[in-house]
Amino acid sequence: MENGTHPPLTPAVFHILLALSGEDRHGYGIMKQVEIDSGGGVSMGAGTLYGSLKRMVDAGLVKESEKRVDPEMDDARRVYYRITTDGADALAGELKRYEHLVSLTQKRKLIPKTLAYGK
Amino acid sequence: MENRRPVYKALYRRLLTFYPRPFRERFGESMEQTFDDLCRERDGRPATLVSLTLHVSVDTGIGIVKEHILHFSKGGGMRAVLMNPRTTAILGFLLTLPGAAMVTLLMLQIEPPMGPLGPYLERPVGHPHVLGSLAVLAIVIMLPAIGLVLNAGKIRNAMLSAGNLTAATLGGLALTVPFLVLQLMNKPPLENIPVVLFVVLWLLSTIFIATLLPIVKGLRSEGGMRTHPAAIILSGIVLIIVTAMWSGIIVDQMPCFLGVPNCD
Repeated sequence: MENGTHPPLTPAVFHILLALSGEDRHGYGIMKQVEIDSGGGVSMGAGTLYGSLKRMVDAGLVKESEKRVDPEMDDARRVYYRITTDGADALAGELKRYEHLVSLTQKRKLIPKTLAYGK
Repeated sequence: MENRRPVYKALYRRLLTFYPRPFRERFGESMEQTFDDLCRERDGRPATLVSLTLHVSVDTGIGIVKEHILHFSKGGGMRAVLMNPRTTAILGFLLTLPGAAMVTLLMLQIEPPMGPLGPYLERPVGHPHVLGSLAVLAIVIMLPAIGLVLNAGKIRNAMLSAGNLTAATLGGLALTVPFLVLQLMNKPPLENIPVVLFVVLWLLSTIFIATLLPIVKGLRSEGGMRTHPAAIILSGIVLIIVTAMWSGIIVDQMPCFLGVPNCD
């Protein structure tokens, strides 16, 4: 799919794609990266993570790379996940949507109003 | 926590068994590894054990329900049920129970408690309502029959092949048409034809042939059925019930087919 033509992503899928955008990661690595990326705001459980990964693999957004050992962990071989071109497109599309929304809210000066309303 | 980790791992592994099999086979090992990593991360911080346990249990529980719904909505659940001889036997037995009870009551001429539906259902045996009930019974029997047939690999292929289904449908028609012809010859007006009766006869004949064909093919092939004795037994039960119903209807309705006056 072309940039921007992907449907909006769920928060879980978005965070997983974002976590995989830098490098291939295994399940636990993705969970940790999601926590870092969200500043600790998103804590993803294994059920949510692997459920999302299954659908993402089926949709061609990510793919399983070969099993290998994480030098920082133990000697158990792990399945690593890699973002695909389609997944990168979907992430770029979602980021564009966010960018557009942020510029729109700035243009309409909604952010200060929202903050003021929240006080 | 370090010493207790194997216990938590075993419990988590047990929890993972509630996932649909395809999901478990694909991600079970990775999920266990991830859980082990989370436990290791909390080593030396026993206070976080409770929060981890709660979080993992809730998240995994939600995941299990979600995956089952998705699995079932894609037809995987029903396929899994039908492919498992034990679950199909139980399902078939449960589905056949209401029908069997109904036939027994009809045969013993016991009036079942109808509740508020009584005034609408109290009809003599042989009335269209009874025939309607028999049609429902035929459908009820058809489900376990399909399940039984799907159980055995070779039988499944034979059953799902369009050729066999067509053969069963045509065979059922061939067994019904003679009686239809008899009825037309002896009670010519077209409006006299009990459509429901002939549909039931046709359905029963089709079920009979559809159940019988795979058994014959399975027995002819090398031990095809031997691996599923439960399938043979339950198929035999279905065949007996269908035959009893079919013969009962034919015997009951034969005077009508032959044009006996005042026959209903």
